[in-house]
Amino acid sequence: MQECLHQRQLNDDDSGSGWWTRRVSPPAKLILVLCLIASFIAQTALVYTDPPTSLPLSAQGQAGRRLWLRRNCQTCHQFYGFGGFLGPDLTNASSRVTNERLKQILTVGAGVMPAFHLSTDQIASIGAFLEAMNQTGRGQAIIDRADRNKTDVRSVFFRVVQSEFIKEHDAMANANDQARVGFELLQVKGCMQCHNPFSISSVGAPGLTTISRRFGRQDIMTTLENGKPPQMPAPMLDSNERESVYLFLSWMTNHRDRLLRDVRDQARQTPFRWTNLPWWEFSR
Amino acid sequence: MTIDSNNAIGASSSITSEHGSSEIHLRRPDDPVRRRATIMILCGALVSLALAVIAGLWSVLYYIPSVGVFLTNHGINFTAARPLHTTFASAWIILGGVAVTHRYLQEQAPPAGQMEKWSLRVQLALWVGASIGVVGTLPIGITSGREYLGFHPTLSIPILLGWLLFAWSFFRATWRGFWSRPVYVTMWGVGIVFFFFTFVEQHAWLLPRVFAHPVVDLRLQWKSVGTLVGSFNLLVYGSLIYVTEKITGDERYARSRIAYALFGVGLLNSFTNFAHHTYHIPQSELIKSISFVVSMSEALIFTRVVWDLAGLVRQQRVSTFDAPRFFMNAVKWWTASMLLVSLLISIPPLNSLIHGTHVVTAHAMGSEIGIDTMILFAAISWILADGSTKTVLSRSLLHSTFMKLSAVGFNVAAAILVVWLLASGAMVGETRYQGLAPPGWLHHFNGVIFTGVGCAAGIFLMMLLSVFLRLAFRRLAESPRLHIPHENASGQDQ
Repeated sequence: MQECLHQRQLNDDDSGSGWWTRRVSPPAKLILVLCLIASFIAQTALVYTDPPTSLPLSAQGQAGRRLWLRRNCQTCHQFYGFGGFLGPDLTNASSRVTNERLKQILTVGAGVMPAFHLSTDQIASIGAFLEAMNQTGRGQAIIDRADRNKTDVRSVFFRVVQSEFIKEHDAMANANDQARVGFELLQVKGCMQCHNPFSISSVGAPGLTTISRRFGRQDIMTTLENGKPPQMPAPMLDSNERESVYLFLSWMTNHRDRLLRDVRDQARQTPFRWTNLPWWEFSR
Repeated sequence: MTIDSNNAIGASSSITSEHGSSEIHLRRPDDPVRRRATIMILCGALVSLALAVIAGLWSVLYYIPSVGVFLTNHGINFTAARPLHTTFASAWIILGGVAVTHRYLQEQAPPAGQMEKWSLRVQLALWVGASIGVVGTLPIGITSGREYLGFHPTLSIPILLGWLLFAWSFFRATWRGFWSRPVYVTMWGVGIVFFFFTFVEQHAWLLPRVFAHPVVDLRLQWKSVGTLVGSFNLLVYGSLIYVTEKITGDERYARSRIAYALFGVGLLNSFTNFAHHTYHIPQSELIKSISFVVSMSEALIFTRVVWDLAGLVRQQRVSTFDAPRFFMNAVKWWTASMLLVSLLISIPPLNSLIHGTHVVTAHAMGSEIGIDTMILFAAISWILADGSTKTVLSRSLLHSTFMKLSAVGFNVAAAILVVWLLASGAMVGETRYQGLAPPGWLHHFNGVIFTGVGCAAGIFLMMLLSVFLRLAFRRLAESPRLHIPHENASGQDQ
């Protein structure tokens, strides 16, 4: 709906109607600008006087930060969502990436990430910088899976798997203790950063409940030992651990239909709640 | 309302309103020196946009994994492409606004004297030098590693010095009766000073205390980037009101209370709204709350103003395609939709979902393309169609079928791109919140749609630029050089 300025009663001596369309006097303009300047100064003072909430970087951390800037890492990566989106947010990367994986990435690259061929000292500096950033807070809104009341699919999936193991144990079925160990390893190693339980993910990682159906034992064991460069890193498992993970993957394939049904049922019972979303910082 | 105007240089125009009163707009004879400066800066703005598009087409290839890996393996990295794109996209908007400001000075300021001619030459030389420096250093990896100002801090010096000279030119010409001038002059003046402050603030990371506290640096970085955007938005929004006034011949809106309300709320929003990017950074909640409240208020006022302005322009209906009017109308729709997006992502719970996803890219690109670029295209179309010695040629090119196809195609492609980025970003945010990796189909379609539609938008934009660049460089060739005459022994110019 358009309002036509020409049809309003305009009067330069301000005696007509149309309050919004009347002229503004020069003193009023000056007062407006001065008020805005004062607001800007106040806002700037608020920001500049807000104290730091974390410790300053160590010398090694600062060296890592300088390297971060020199290599322009922010082009692809973010801290607290600030940066490019081609790569992941690295605010809390040090809590999920091992030193060996960090060395591998920074040496040989990963996909579109170039191989930087950094020295050991440089890698250590980057590691120190990332560790310091990890201490500052949580960079992304992710539901804490330790909370049993959370409704995210991953938490529901873990609960469902756990309850299936309990049922089998109670029924004196085959003690899948080694498969259970594989389940624990899967959580610890962060496999679900890339793999979804039931479907292929955006990075091309196959669904965990379909792997044993799609690949033979030898292929799976080789992948668990060496990874699948450049996308999948080597999970750093010994032979017993690889066997445990393989058994768990087989178990999931055999129980896929039941797991899928139970996850869907539970998800319907505990719908996504908007009130669970954080308002300010993600630590809550 | 009838307009009887003569666009020849130095003529006056009279406007008779519906109510029978008349206002005489007296124009100074166009100063050829200032006219040349306007067109040179305009050419610089268009070249910046062309560089931004080329770098953008290069960047988007990395979203096709096989292509991205191929390029990376051959040493052609994304770390060179993206900073070029963001730097020159910002440069286009800033220089476009500066060009329109110079256009105003062309007709309102007294003829440039010797000092001012030198000032203009040095200003332009500094900016050209800085641009060459940016183009030469970014692809070879000499960067600051920062967002927006991705070039080495040394190059900030000529940019800032050039800006000081520009500020001097502007205020020298407008300080008399500054507060009696229309709102766009106030907007430009405040924007010019604001830019200076925020540009300097962007370099706070060079201070050891800030460098040692990355989270403090993030707060300042977001603040200064947000206010940098606010400063160039003031140049652009002022240009919108100025060009509308020129197209319609009606100066009343530019002096009205609602226009000043836009200015006030818009500026307030500029230096508080950065915090909608920092809701989740460890920072005082008071800062975040102020941002939230101010964000909600600006949306309403600005949408109303743009609607009014587009309505003014549309009253003068023309039966054929008219470039300035088309772009003005496009601004209306883009403004309404992008402000709605801004409103939604300023709500903290929604912000937490989409933060760090392509929803942010959609917000940035949609605003800079749909609002800023459309306004500048309207202004540039008007500038190029007005006052040229070959006005007929300019107008026929600007109102041609080719131009119409390019403009419509660009808007459609850009809209699809923004919608896709919003959808994919929302999907990523939601699955990430669930602790899952995004679905595989998203990965597949992202490469196709983002890259495909992005390339289409880039091609249509280059088609538009081909017309603008042709006309702009033709105007540059027509205009006399910034000649600084030598005085002979008797003190006369030669």
